[in-house]
Amino acid sequence: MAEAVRRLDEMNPLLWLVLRRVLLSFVSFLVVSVIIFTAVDILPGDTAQRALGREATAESVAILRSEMRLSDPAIVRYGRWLGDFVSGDLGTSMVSKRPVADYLVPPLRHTLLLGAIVLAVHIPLSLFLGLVCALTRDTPLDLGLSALVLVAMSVPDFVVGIFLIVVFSVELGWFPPLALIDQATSWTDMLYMLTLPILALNAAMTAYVVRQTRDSMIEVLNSDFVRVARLRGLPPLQIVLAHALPSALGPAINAIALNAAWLVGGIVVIEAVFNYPGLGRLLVEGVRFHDVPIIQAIALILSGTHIALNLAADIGTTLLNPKLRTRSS
Amino acid sequence: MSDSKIFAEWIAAASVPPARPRRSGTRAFLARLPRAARVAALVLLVYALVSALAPWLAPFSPAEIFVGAPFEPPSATHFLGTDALGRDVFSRVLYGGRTALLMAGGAALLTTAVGGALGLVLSYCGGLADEIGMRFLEVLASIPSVILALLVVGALGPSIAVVVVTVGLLAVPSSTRVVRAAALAFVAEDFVLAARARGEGRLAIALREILPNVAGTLLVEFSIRTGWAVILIGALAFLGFGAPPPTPDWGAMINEGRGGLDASIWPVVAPAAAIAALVLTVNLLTDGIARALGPAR
Amino acid sequence: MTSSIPSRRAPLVHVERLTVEYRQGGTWRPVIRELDLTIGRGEAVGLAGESGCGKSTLVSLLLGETRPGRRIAAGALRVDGHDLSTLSPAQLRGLRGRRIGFVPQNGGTSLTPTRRVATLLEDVLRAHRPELAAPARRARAREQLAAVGFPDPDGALQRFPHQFSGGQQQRIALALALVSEPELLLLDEPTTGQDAQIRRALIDLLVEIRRQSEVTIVFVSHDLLTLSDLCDRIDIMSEGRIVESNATAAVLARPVHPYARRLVAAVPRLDAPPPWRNGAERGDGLLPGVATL
Repeated sequence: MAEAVRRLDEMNPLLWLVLRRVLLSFVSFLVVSVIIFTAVDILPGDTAQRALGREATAESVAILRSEMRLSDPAIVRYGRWLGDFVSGDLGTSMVSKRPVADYLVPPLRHTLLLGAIVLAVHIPLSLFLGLVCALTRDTPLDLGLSALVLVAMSVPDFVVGIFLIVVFSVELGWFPPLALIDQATSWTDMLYMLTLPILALNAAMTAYVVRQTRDSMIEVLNSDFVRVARLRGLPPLQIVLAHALPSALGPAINAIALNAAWLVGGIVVIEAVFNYPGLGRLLVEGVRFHDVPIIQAIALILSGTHIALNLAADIGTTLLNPKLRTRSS
Repeated sequence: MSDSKIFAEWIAAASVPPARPRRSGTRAFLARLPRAARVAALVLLVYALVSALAPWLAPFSPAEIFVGAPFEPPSATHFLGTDALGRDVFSRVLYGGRTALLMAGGAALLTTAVGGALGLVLSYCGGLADEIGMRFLEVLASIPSVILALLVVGALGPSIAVVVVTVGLLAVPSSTRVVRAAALAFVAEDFVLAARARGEGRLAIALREILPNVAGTLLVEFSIRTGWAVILIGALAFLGFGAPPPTPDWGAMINEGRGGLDASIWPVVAPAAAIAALVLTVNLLTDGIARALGPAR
Repeated sequence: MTSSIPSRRAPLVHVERLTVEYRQGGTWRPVIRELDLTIGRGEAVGLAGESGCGKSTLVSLLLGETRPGRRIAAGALRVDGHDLSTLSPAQLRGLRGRRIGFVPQNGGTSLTPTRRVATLLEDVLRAHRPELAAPARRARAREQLAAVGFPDPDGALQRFPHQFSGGQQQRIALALALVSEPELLLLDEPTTGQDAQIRRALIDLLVEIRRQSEVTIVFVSHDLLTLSDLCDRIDIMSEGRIVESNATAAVLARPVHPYARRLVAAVPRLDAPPPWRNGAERGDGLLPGVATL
């Protein structure tokens, strides 16, 4: 009992820290929602006019304006929009006249799926490569990987995607150029279709985490406690994995979370490259057709995810560091 | 996109914000530039020259259709073949360099100017204004840049000016943060305190005492932002929100050529290679500049 | 306790005409020159000397550590008759931690920050006392932590290194060195940077440990006062050589080498000037004790 109380007490500062971060993220989300609403709604040009195009008659514009209650003050419309959004009503598509929520679900699922698989490949792969670089530092292997990292970092993701299509679809014919996942018949078929998008996104992300892991791991391997662990005759594998890695993981996790947050934007472009039926492609279409409710909904979902991932990174880094996790005496 | 944001962080991590140069002067700076960066500078110069001289170097007009048959393979007449409309890919790539360099350079200039000014102001004001400003910029940065760019460019309609200004302003938060951090290192320095003691005004101190010391940071920032802007502008054009059609643009060329990949890869591969090489070159140069300005290692 | 070397067994530590060089720029510069050192079983030897004299290098070499930019140019180090430079990595691991316990200069930074004290101790036991099962390991860890003066070893086992004070961290480092019951305990300036009280407590603890076990101690410090209560013998190093080696009392009373004299003269004294000071520094016009405070 006393033990439980003591532990709770030790956990308290952490709880407080996490709570504060969550609150801050929530505020960020609200501000972001204002920005998104403003960017789409208050920018020059009338929403109704833009939605209907130049050829629209004055009457049809007026009808749409009243339908959308555009004459209300912006703040009222914002409140209504956010309130509806939170209660699950994402509005009605101006192009298809169907509720946005209805046809947002399958693309959302597709995007989450792609993102999840990309991260599932990304995290172990980049940590492993970073570790290899750190352990073989300044050897040709490390230098080669580091050079590759700079190149991969510099090539824009959609260019990587295009090159992958050119090489593996057009020239070699190994993989389909388009990830038309709706037509997938099985899990393996789906993974096969997703191979190139997964590769393209990983190519852009891996570099950074490898670099961060390598650098922080090298720093930790040079630290006093790793030297002393060696001088205590501990097994090398244990020293690397149990003593050094946890301390080096902070910057790496941070980099991974930044990548995950980057992925929210990167996936939009890669979906367009591979014609993948996800949120990103829907967003691009929405923007093309000035479908305001769709744009707002997707932008808010993606930005919210972005904020949530950054929050997760923050909390994750905190949890990994016992100095932040427990009160010092 | 944030490829370059990430790159920027890497640079920041690799080099402590440039302290006062040990030996000032362009020559000393050039002497410290790593070899890779010098090569990159040369390549960039070639890019700039080729873009500037495109009207004389290009064998065909970039917009004229059916100067050859559609999807011709590379030949002595059409070095990089022709696209679906029979336009000369080589000429289009040359002209595309102008679009890319001018737009990205303009956006980066805007970013650095606005971000630099904001950073200086915030670092010198401190207090509540600083706190509120930084928080707001932080929140602004929490919207993925492609998405925000899509929203704004989509709402305003794509034009060269809209794309440049949008992309330029999008990077302001991170530029402000970097410049502010660099400037803060000097706010408490003796020479700033001395200037304050002499009774100089805030603006005078910011411009005369602090600005010269963050000039290196601004240069690195400009360089980073150029690479970043090339990518974002390319991505926007690829998505169909770049400079409007007659303007030859690499991103747009890649997008247009995708449908005809089975017929010819050149209309896609050529601009893709051009954009990749340009970003790589700019990043190498950035890395070199940061190293040359940073403390000796 | 005086050293009594069993006749048939080799001395525990035997360093023979050792020359060690560091690379500086393009050339190799010696930091240890033709050093001879023999330490018998059960001895407690103090190794004193100014920073940069090669003390820490010697300790590092006794643990078989290799570093880029450092080489053994001549001579050999033997522990229990084994030439350290010929041992395989696995053999070295069997020596480090198991037969040689090491206490580094900074207890705080030497403890892996992400591991609880219990885990740290059990790591060593798992590596060097594989015969112990989990409960026995925990019991041994607890026992060792109590032995270095933690009144609540169970509580301490559950905490992370940063939750302890500097002195406590140093004692945890000591517990880590002793938990596998090594024959040789190497301490590399463990009291540097600690205040006098903590220094005193650590020395008292080591004296107590010596009383209860057969462990051989090599204690490196630049402070003779710290060594004097613990060690049977003091070796004084200067510029890569041992310039003075004698029983503690003799070194303190009659230092021979000029550097040893300076070092002895620098020992602060709160009581009356000791007799050996009278000759050397009478003419300085100040009370000798005050002059060195």
